[in-house]
Amino acid sequence: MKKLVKLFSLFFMMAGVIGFAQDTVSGTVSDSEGLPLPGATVVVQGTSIGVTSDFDGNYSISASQGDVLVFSYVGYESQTVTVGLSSTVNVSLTSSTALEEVVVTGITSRERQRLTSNAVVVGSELIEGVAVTSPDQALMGRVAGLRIVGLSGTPGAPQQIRIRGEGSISGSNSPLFVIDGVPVNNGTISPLLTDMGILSMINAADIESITVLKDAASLAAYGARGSNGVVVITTKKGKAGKIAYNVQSQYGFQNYAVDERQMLNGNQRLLLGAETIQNTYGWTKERATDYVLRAFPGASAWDAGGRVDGNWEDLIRVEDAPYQNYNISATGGNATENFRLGVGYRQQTGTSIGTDFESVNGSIYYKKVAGKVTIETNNRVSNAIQNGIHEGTAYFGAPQMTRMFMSPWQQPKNPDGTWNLNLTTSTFNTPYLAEVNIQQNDGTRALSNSKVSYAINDKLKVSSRYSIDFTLGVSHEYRNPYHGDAASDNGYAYQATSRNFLWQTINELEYNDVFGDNEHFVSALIRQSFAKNKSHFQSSSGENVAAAGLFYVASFNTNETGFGSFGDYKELGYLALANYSYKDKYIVDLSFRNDGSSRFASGYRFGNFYSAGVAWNISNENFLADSEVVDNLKLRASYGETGNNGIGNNQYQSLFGYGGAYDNNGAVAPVTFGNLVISWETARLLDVGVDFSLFKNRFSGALTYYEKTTDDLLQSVPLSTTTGHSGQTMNIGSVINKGVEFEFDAQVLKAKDFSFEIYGNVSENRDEVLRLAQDAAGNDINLDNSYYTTRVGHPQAQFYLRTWGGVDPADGRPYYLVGGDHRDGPVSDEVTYSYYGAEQTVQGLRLPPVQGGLGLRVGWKGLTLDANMMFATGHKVFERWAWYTMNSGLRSTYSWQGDARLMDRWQQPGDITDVPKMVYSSSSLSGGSATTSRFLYDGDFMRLRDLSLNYSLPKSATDAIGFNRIDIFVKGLNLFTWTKDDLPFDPEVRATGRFRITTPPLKSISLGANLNF
Amino acid sequence: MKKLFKLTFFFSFLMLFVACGDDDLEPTLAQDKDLNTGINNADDLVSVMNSAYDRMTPSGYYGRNQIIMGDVRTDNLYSNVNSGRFTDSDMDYSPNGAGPWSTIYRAIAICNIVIGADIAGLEGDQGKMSHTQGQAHALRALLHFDLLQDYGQHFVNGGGAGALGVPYVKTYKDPANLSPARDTAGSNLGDIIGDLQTGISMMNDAYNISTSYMTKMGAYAILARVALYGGAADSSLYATATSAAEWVIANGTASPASAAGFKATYYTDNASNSIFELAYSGTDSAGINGHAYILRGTSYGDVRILTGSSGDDLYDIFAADAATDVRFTKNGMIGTAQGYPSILGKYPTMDGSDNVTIIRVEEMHLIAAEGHLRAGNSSGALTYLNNITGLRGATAYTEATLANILNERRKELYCESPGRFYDLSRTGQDMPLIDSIKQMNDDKDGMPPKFGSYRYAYPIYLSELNANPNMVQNAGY
Repeated sequence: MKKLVKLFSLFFMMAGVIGFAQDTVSGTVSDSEGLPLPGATVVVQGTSIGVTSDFDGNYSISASQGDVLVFSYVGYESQTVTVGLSSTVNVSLTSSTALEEVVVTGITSRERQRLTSNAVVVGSELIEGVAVTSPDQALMGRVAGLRIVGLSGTPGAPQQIRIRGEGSISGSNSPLFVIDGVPVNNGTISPLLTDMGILSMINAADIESITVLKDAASLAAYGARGSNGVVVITTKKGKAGKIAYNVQSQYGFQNYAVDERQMLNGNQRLLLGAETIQNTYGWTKERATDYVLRAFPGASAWDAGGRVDGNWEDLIRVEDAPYQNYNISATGGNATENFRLGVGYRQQTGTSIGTDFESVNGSIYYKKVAGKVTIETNNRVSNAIQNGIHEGTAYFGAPQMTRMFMSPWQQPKNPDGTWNLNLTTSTFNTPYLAEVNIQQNDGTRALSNSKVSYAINDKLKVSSRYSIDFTLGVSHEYRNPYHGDAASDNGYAYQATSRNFLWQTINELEYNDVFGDNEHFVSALIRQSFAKNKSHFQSSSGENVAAAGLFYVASFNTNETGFGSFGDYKELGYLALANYSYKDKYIVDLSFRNDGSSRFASGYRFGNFYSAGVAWNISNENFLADSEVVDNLKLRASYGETGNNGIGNNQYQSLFGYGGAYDNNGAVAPVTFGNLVISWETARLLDVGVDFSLFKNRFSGALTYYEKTTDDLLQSVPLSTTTGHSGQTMNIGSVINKGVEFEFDAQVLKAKDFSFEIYGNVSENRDEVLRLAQDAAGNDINLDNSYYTTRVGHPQAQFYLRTWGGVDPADGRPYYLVGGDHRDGPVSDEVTYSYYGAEQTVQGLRLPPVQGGLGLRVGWKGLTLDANMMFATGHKVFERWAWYTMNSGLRSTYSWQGDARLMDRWQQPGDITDVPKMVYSSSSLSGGSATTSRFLYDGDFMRLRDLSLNYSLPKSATDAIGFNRIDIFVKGLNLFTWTKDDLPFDPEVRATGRFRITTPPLKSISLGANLNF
Repeated sequence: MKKLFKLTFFFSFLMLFVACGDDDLEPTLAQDKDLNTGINNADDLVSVMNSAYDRMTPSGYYGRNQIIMGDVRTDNLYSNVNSGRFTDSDMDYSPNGAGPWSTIYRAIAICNIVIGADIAGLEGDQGKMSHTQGQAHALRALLHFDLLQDYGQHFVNGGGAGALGVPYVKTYKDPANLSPARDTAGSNLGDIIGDLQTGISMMNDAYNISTSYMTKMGAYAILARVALYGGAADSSLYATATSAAEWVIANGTASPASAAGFKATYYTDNASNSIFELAYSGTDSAGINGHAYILRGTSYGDVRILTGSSGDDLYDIFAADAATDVRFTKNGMIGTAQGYPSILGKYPTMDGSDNVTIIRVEEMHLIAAEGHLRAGNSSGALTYLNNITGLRGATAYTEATLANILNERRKELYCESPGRFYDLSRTGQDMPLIDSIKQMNDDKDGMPPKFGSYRYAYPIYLSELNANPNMVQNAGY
């Protein structure tokens, strides 16, 4: 059959050749400014005759009078010319800024007008120089409904992303990352106390665009892994033409964005310390002060030394930490064979002492079109080294912990300039530790992605893709034997190697056809994908080192431990997609996917996911065709199902774990309760929206309403702990997320040399728990703990704290409100002085229900200014650790350190303040600092996320020195932050809504240049 | 050539399409084994049993908190909250829950797996497997006894044997018993003693390895302790306590430490006076979360000896024999660290690698003394009591009174299992006031809690109450 088709086409071609006089047509292809376009494609329409232009844009093709020549070039609008009498045809192609945008969904690439979904695309110009730590950072504030938070300001730290809220109570809520059509791993290298995100090993300069998929029509194609949204990264490809070089360099400085926490100085601490005794035991100020100086740790030495405070803050903070980034790339070739080579280098010094990040990477893209076969390969390798610190919680060895917890009476150095290792406090001398200890993650990541496709004919194409995602993480920790965590062990060393290998294959059959007079567009696709992931982990540690200057486990021969493990998972999926468009007015999308995962028991491994989408391009109807106002108007709706298998491997099995030991003999214990009938978590998505473009595309945007109902939640259902287990993984419970998203772009002014544009997005997302697991008696098993409550009819994990009343002006005691949501009977506003006399009460949301971004772009001649502000509102953030730093007692004056806000404490009857009187007690209850709404703040904030000023040198100037284009830019990140409440920490906190002790988020300013030649 | 390419391409493509199925998704079980096929022989059963011991070692239980909490609420120790630890010494527990509840039930689950194994169907020495199951019975009894002491309501508001105890769990993963209700304290005591007797009948000394494992002697010793404490609810148990303690003294392999050897027993694994202890090593030690760090760490170091003027602190009770008693400063057992009066001789190794003794033979003499006293035999009681003083360089008592016996128990067993708190509660005493600045349990009411207060029992965890409809919270929370 195929042979027959081929034969026929050959025959017709022959006939064409024989039947008409054959001439040669030649000419030049250039752009609108007259520059030659090398590698442009020239095809005789309806035949397979085609050539490409040479480096000077010249071409020569066999064609006859009456033939139609089609000229095309990437990034330019195609042009058709009918061959007339002249044998010379010169064309100039216009740049395709007006060209219909093509949206890459990781599975298909399709013109936006034929989509039934609304995907947000962030282009490379917004990624380069903005994504300092990892590429996903560029999405901050740019995409409606997407929340992204850096987990730490330590360079290389990962980001936490939530798309349209959280659908899963105990499964994963992280989106899937897809690079060039293949899902990749997105995790961390983190056996140490600083995490390194493996996405940070992807060079932002290699990225062409990032597309965020949020709705049913686009997500259902990702089936079992699509529930939490998909972030599709498309890397830069080769470009036809003369070899073009691009050199980018950027140099900048970083500082804490806003975290300027003030702590007590030595004299304030002495004053408050004395007050604890005055207030509790009625001593005079003199006697109490004298006692503090004598009995409180470090006070006497501080006093004797002339009351000079330890300069901890200065030693821990690295001011104006430099950041540098250099990238060089080259592209070239022609339409049938082209390439891109890239190399990059990045170095970032952290703002916490002892941290830095360094990365080198290289990539190569090659494409060859050989007749009906196209081969394409895209490969990148990078190595990143991150020197980290203890962070995340109140580790004694964490520099950021020292900032908050170190007594100013302690001195970091001895009078002779050596480090003071004899602190009379629990916290360590972390500037010293940063100098001598090692905590390093060294990661290597290789991504290889090759595709071969074969065009059976111009409608049917078959392709096969093979990809490898390999991550090798090497971690090393050394703790010195003199001071810190390992002093009592006489030194400690730890080394770990983690290796993760993911290979995938995707086989695909794609069909595209047009019927009638460009009336019916049909495209269909079937694909099979198989993924196999293997991970190995090995670590060893030892204690007791014989001499200084030895850092590796081999020299630490006491209490050596070794650990090794292996894990794997496999996923198999089948997908069928169909898209039909009638005159680009009515569009229908259908998808069906069947997925299997090894995380479930045989018989429960496969799930079916489908979606249907429709769209109506009203602007293509006759009655709007001539409209002066409406350029584009589209109504779209989609409905579908996706899944989530975001639980650990082997959870369905009842297993014995062999990791334990007792008395140096193996100990075997059940590790999972097991549940053979667990399967996918299923999300049903409904999207309805309108896309519009008005006034000659001067004002465009999209408005979307969505509902996402997640059923059969993979939940660790609490068991009575009398069973020996805390929970059992089950498919139970249901959560709904509903929201509205609006995106717009308005070109306010557009003159010859001047343009002014405003763009932005705003989204609202609200969630509600519809169903939870029930206990044996049929009651909901509420998921409440000391911070959060999750109950039916309410959002997931709202803040659930005792309500702070205030400080009694009469005696300075803290009081609380009895409160008590979720109890039978009304909430009580009664006052109680007993902490436990107050009930935990619902206090608000931890994720912002409303967030967005607002930007403006101003262009004047070669100058472009782009400013993007992000904001979030309606949520709360909790100041963890305030139970120490805001304790009106000994925690802030004796054991640890107090916040300067304690100076507002109650002192005498009648004082109106929110800080209780100082008491001689270590209790957080008497000191008023126990966990209550006192430390819960409105999380509302606005932040100038990025600001960039770019100057593009005039063409005349660049031509004179032999460059195609030269840009010089200044970029600023997080330069300005506004918070509604006077927050003592950065407003960007992870999804738990609680402050963590890490390097604070950064602000930076950098200068750079981008040269093309 | 092109055709060949095409053919190969299609062929491989097709192969891939058909090659994958359900079986290809079978995950590798690399580190774990399926529960139903995991126990095949006597050695497997021993390995599972090891987990029961292992699950008693975390710092939330015998690795630290159980022992520290036994004393830090009393007149022996206090927490200076240097690192924010042991704030629960204020006995003003969060109603969300406190204590080792789930840790203990995790260990019980292992005992139940061992007990539930059908050993007749397993390969290997039947006697050894029976011995292992006997260990599981005895350990299950000890674990429930600790739960009962921490959560039982028998001392709260005049509770007694009919008050709420804890769920006595005898099966693993039994669908009918996943949400058990609380039994009474009296019923718990009966089950505990029953389990100990079963254990005693199943264990065989031929299979003993060391005192790091449960033995017949260990089961008798625990029976003695349980019966003594249970005597508060059912006085007929005192006789059981006496007979069990005397069985251990007469038939056990443990002998009391001499004055000279006393200090060494704390850094010697399986010392001569040990009946049952938990094994710790350098590699699986609690490290900074162990006893040593909390008692005298330069960081941490929260828990110190409570000294003050209001009542008798540890220094006061040793004062008369200060020059001779090997349990006091002279022998380096107690002394100053970081400027605080501190426990120095017990848990001496800073990395937490010392084994933790749960029960030792000296306690048997003191139990026998009390048992005889309660039976009216004060001369027998005095003999046993002075068995201890004689080995410690302390002045012999002239009279065996309950006060003297409790005083000697305090001197001998401070900062050790079972903990002074439980002696105070079983004898109906209030928590003593020593120094109102230091100790925290007087902060709430100005005085430490009185006997009968709800604060004598930990609250049950909120998570347990949420998951188990049959669970009832303790009074006062």
